[in-house]
Amino acid sequence: MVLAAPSLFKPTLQFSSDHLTFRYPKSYKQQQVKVKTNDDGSSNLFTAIRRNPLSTISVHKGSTIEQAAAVLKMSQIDILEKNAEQKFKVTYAQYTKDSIERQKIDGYDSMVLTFHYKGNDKKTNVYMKYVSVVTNTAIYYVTTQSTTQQATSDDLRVIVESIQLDS
Amino acid sequence: MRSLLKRTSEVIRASIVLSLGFMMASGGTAAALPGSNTVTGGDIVTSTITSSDLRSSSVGSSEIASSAVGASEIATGAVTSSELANDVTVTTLTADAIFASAIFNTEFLNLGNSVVTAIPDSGDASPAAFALDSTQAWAFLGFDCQDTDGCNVSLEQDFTDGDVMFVYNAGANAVNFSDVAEQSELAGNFATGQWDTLQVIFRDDTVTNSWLEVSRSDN
Repeated sequence: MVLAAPSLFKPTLQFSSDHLTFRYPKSYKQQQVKVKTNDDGSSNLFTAIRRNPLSTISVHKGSTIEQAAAVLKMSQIDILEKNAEQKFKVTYAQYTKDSIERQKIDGYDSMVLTFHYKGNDKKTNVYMKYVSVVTNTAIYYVTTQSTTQQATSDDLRVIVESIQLDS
Repeated sequence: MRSLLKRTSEVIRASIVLSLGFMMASGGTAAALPGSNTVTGGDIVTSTITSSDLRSSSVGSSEIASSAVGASEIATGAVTSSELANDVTVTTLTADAIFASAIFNTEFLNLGNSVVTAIPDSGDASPAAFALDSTQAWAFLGFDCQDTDGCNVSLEQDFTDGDVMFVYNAGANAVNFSDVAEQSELAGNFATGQWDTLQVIFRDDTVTNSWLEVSRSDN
C-alpha cells in the first residue's frame, strides 16, 4: 500500500515492514537492510541518519505488557510513562524533560516524551522525542533525535501523520 | 687394412660405452625405481616443490596444519558472506552511523520488556541474592526468581530523593525483601509469593537516606 505524502513541499520516502508502514523525510539515509532481533525479543525495524542537520530516526518493536498491567492495575501506557521517567534520567546525560503528552496514533494509545540531553561529545545539546504506541499485539517505539529542536518535531510529525499499524 | 678397421671399431665401441657411462653418472638417463610409493621426503631436496608441481585442488583442509593460515595469507576482499557460517552476522557501520554515534546516545530502552527481571539460581542450597540499584531499576519492576530456595533482593541507595518503585513477584518462588535499618525501612520483612506487590519511595534528606515502604499487598 502506498501512503499519500503528508506534505507536498517535503519529499518523503515510505518504509513498510512487520505490520508497520510510515513515511519519513527523504533527506534521511536508511541504515539497515534487514530487521534485527535483540536478545530481549525486541526488534530493530528501522534506522536512518541525516547529516544536516545531524539527526537520526529509529523504530523498534517489543512485546506488550498486559500481564504486568493486570498485576499493577494500571494501563500499559501508564507503566511505560513511569518507566521512561525513571530510566531516562539515568541513561541520558544531563537529561531534562520538556513535556510528556498522550495522544492517539492511528487510533492507538500512545505516549510522546520530549526531552533534551547532552550528547556523547559532552558539548552538543540533543533534542529527542520518544514515542511508545500500544497496539493489540505489540508496542512500537519511535524516536527522533536531532541537534535542532525544530527538526526533531518536524520529522516526528511526518512519521506520526503517516503511520499505519496493522494489529 | 683389416687391423685399421678392427682398431677403428674398437675405438667407436669404447666411445659408446664411455658416453653411456658418463650419461648414467650425470643422471641424464631416467632409471626405473623398484616397486611403488618408494619416494619419501628424504629423497626430495628442500624447497624444490612449488605450486606448479601440485595438482589443482589437491590440497584440502586436512593437509593444512591447525592455525597455519593467518591474515597475511588471505588476499584482501577474498572472504565474502557466502564463506561465513549461517549464524555469523556481519554489521558494517556506515560513515554516517559512525559520525552520528559521536553525538547521539542510540541505546534502545525497551520500556516494556524490562518489567520482569529474572534472578538466576544461586546453584547452592541458599537463596540467590540480587542487589537492585538505580541502573537496573524501573518504576515498575517484576522479579522472576529461578531459585527454588528463594531470592533475597536488597534495595540499594544510589537513587534520587522521591524515586518510587512498585515491585512485584512474577514467578513461583519467593522473593524476599528485608527490613534493614537506614536502608530499607519496611513494615517488617516481606516474603512475597506470586503476584504480591510492594511499593516503596526513596528519601534522601537530612533525616534519612533510605527506602520507605508505602504499601504492600499479599495477593
